[in-house]
Amino acid sequence: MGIHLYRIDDRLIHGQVVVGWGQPLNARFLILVDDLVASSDWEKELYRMAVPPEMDIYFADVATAVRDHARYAADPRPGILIAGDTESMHRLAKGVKAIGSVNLGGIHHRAGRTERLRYVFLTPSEEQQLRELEASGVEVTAQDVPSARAVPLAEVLEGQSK
Amino acid sequence: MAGRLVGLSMMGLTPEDIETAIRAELARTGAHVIFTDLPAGSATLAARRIVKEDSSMVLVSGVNLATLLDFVFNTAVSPSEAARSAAERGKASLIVVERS
Repeated sequence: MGIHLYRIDDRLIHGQVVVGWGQPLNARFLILVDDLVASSDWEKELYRMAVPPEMDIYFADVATAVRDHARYAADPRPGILIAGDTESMHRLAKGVKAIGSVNLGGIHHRAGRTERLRYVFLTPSEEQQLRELEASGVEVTAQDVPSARAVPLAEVLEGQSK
Repeated sequence: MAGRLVGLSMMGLTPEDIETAIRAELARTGAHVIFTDLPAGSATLAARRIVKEDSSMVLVSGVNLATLLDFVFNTAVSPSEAARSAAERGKASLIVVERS
């Protein structure tokens, strides 16, 4: 089993993750990789309360996630790993060679970002990080919910305001 | 329901923007009750941050139409009391009907 989905989502844990992906994947644990959340007890409690009782949640900063990835991956239950931004996932994938694919689930509008999909907005630096991820052998696709088509990174980056 | 309820869409917003949008609407309307859909939703998480800072605010998550209707028409009590009553009404309205 182990980690079935590596997702970049700036909303971190929310309905689309817990219900939209969690149910079809039968996810039994979540790993929230975020330096800020991992350093705050209040933030951790906030996200812990957003998770249904049948799911465990683990919090890690990127360095800890790199260190503990083998343990997460060996878990007999299906799980989901979520990072809040491309930079965190980029650092994680640099330290963990076992990541085969990354899902862009939601990177919303912010100053400096260009719309690539309805739910994916990227700065040039974020685009570069995703290109590097893919060049290192990680398949990168955008897909907000399981019923949507997985859009390959090249297609995501092709144009604006698709 | 206009006048007692204001709707906000969180579509396409970052978590920071969601919180900003809710705060702006609270400031504009003077409201003290926030209703959200999923307890695990991003609107709920943003609202919890707001409630943490302001003891006069009340959050009700997992709302359904029965919750909102009860709140709208319960004008005899304070907003926070109306919110608690509405939450109870919303819970009680969930029933399963099966062919016997």
